Amino acid sequence: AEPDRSSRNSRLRSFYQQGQVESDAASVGLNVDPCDIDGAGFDPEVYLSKLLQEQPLTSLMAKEQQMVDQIRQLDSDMQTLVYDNYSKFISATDTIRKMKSDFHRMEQEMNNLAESVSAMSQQAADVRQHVGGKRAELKRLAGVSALLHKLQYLLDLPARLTELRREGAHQQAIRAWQQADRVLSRYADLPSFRPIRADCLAIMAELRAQLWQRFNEGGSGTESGGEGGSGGGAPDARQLAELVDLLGQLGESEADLSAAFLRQADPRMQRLLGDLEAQAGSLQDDVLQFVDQGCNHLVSELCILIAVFGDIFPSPESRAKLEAYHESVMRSYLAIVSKRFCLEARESGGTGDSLLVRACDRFHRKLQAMHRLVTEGELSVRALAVVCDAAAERAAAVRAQLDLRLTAALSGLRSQLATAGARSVSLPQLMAGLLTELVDAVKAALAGLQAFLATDVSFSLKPAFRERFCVRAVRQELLAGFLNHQATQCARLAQLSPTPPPLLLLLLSRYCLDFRNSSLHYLCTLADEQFLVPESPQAEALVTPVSELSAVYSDSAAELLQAYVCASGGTLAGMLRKSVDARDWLQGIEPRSVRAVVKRVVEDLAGIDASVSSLYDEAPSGGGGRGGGDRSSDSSASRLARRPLTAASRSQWSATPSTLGNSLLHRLFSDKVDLLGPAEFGRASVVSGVVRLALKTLLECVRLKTFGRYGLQQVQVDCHYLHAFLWRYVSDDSVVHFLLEEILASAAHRCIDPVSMEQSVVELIVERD
Amino acid sequence: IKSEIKMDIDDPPVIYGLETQARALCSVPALDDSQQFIIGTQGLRVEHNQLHLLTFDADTNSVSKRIFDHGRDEIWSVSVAPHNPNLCATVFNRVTMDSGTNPSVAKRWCLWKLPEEEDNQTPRHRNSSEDALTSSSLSSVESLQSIGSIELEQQGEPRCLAFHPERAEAVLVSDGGLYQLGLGSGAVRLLAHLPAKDGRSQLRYWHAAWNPHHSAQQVIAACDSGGLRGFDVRCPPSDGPVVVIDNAHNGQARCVDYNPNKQYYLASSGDDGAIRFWDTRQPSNPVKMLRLHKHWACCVQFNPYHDQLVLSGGTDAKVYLTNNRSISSEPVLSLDDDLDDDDDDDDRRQQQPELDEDRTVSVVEEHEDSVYAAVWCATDPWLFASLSYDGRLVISHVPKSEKYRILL
Repeated sequence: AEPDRSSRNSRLRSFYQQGQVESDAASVGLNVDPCDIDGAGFDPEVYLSKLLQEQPLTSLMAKEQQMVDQIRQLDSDMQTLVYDNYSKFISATDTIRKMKSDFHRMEQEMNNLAESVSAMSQQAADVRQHVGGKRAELKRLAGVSALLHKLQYLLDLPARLTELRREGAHQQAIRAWQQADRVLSRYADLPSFRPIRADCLAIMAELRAQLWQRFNEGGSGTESGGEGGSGGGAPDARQLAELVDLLGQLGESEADLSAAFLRQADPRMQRLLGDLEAQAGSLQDDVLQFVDQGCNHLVSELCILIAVFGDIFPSPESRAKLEAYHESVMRSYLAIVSKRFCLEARESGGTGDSLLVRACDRFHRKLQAMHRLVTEGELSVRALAVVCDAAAERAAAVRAQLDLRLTAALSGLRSQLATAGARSVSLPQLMAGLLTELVDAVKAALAGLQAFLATDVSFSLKPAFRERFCVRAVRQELLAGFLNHQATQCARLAQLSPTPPPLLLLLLSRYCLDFRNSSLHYLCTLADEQFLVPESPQAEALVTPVSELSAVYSDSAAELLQAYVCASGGTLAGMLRKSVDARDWLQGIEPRSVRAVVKRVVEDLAGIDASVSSLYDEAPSGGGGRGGGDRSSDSSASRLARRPLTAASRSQWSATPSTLGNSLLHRLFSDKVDLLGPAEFGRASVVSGVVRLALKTLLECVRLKTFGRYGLQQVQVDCHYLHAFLWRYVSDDSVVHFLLEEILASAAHRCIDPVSMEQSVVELIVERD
Repeated sequence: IKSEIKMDIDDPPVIYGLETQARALCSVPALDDSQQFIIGTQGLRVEHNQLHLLTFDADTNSVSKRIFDHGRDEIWSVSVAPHNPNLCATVFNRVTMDSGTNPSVAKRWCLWKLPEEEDNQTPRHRNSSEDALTSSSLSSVESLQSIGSIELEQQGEPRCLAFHPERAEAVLVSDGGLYQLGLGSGAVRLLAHLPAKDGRSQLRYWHAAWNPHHSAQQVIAACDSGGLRGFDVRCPPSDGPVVVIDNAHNGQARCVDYNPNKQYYLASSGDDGAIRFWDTRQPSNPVKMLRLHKHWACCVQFNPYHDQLVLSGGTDAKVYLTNNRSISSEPVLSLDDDLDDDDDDDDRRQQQPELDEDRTVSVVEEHEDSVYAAVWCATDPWLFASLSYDGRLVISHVPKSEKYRILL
């Protein structure tokens, strides 16, 4: 049964036309396992012998059973297939039979058709025969009939036009006229046509006038456009467009029409602008109302105007004209708004911020919306510029308030110092008060301006606004400007003539120093954070760096301190100068005591020292801290104590003019002493600056006088007294030594009878005082 | 008395030393355009105070001198008439011992005629470093010829004498006020007395200067109250001052000088160490202020030719030469640019920061004691001298760079 089976298989395959692939596989598969029962190279002998050799009996039995089943199955499959094929064959035969009958019927119809065609050609030949020569006549008659129709139409035209005009069917009237006009104008020289044409022209002129009138109503009444019917009311936009179209067809140029349109709209715009301008000059209405009015009336109408215009006149030339007009209106409007905003920013008090911000916001939003309508002209950029200007103006106003505050604070401080005595006020307290007041003022100012940066404000995130307002207006012009102004304002006091109270100078010098150390950086950082100043190079280029401000403060502090030294020293110097000038040094009696003015100088110096030490540490600030703690904690009274008369100090210095030679030698062999160098930020430096200034003046005054013997001795006594008391106040004893020696030497030089007093007597007198 | 020459490589100042203290220094407007200065010694107990007439020789950078005897009277101030270099005036202290023990000192003034130089008898003595030691022994002392002095009512202490720039007149500055003196025809006579009164309070004048403009009819004085008072000599003294600048200085005003090239402008110096420039038409505020000196600013003077150069000396032993171009008669470099807006101006300034800005040109550091007098040479705009109390005269040059900058 096996070869039988394989041949069947191959036949089936060829029937289903799958054999190609299989046979390819078979031809390739020569070395295919011959034991594969489904393979092409199946060899029943090999398979059988392999089975017999390898399989036990039971499995051979099973295998046989299995094969029998399979064979049976295959047989039934084959039967089914044969049946299927047979039924398909039958149905194909049926179809062919049916087609055959259909063809039969079609053939009959074709025959009918051929008959009809031949009948028609027969008839056509007949007609051609009958009509023959009359064809030309007919054509002429038809032509005449058409011409007569046309002439009738022309004759009726005036009446028709009138009718159409009365009915308001302008469109049809114009179309009719346009059609007729071509003919009429061509035969205008024929007398019979002339009156028709004249009538028509008159009617059309009336029509044109009527249209113009309607048009003008429309242009001036765009605001009420919605309600306009064809009756009494003005036409709406669509009707306007129609009108323009009609007028255009009547030969009006678009340029004229658009110009007329804008001319019509202009007075109303100007009136609105005028209203706004009138309001812009005063603070009577609040700014929000102002913006509302501007937006609701002027801007809205402008929008409508633009929309309508755009619909009616789409040509680019007209567009340009509209833009020019729109530009001119917007320019005026922006100028007015800017003026009003700036006025508001300047004039309104501290409460105006939120209102102004809301107004700005509303304005900006509105114009942004409008920007969508009018893309040209960068409307939103310009609106932002107006807002920026307003915000900057506000910052400037705040700055001006701060400046006023500073001036008030300074003058208040000045009067406080003037009314209260030097000892009854606590300088550090005053200074701390001033510092707190001004720092708080600046903080409050910054906080107020933050309203412009609220997240719900439409312009707060615009980079241009940030740059203009945050960086330039607030950070630079307001904050850095004020800080700079404060420092220079303080420093200006140092240059005033006559000089302000010395204590004020001292206080402000310390104030500048403290401000630099504590508040300057803080305020700048605060502003940077609050106003999100970016750390970009552009921003940094616009902003004065903190280091520069810090330097300004240091300079101011140094200048003020120097001015204080000059003023205090000048006061002492003035006392000494007057006392030297007033006294007759030539005559006079032997000195019995230290002159009162010298004692007074020492007392005043104690006061100065107390004031300075209340504000400045012993050493220059930032230096050794409280290195000289024992000294600075001394009360000023203990500084009044005289120099301990140790042997060392006595040997170092004696109040006799015999040191003249030494002084010259000293000057020859020592470096130049910088007598009047700048004061540093420390008590000792400041006070010794004062001392040096006073002593230097005493020296110069002595040189202008001529002394007798007792005059010289009086100077001796005074110098010794000074030497005994001044040591505590100075940082460098040697300078005081040097100056006192110079004074003595100069007095001796200016003495006509230079006999000096015994050192012991001098000491006795000084000790007694 | 010795003199020495100190050589520097760049711009050597010449130093001339006196053995006594000195305050008096004046430039001599020599007829032959030689560069001369005159200084006076201030020795209270010295037998022979002297006037030293020094001639600077630019070629050898050395100084030759003539010495005039001034007796025991110590010289506080010296001035030379601009129209006559041989006419000189001194203010001096005279000590008299009346009845043995009780001495008295009186300030006086006198006009002198410097004797003509006789070339064959007293050859000018040139000093250089080689013969510095021998110079003092060789120099001969000439005597002065007194023209005279007159006693004035309520004169008080005289301070200085300011010669009129053109006429044979002078103003004596003293405690009692300003005395306008006529010096013509060989005799001194009082023309007018402007008492030093300010309402009821008494003023003391320290220094005075003639206004060189408008044929020099005005004189301005510096007061010890710190104010300045200007008078017109054509008006009667009772009319009072025509220029009043109160509180020009905090403390005493020490010196005042008119700008020789720019009308109404003047400079003043005072005990507050400041130099202030004023426009007499707007006396309420100074036009400019310089705070260079750390103590009294004793003297200030405009360069007679280039008024942007201002010289000042002070008791801080410093002499400052400053260029104040912004307020000088010198036209600004490009006038057109200045009329433009500020931005351009700033730009230009950034480009040439040195040229246009006012600045300190140089500082004379050679002094070790207070400088009471510093003057420009009357005949050479690039030379000036300063005198410190210890008797050291320093003759310095304007730095060449500055000179060329002004000239070119």
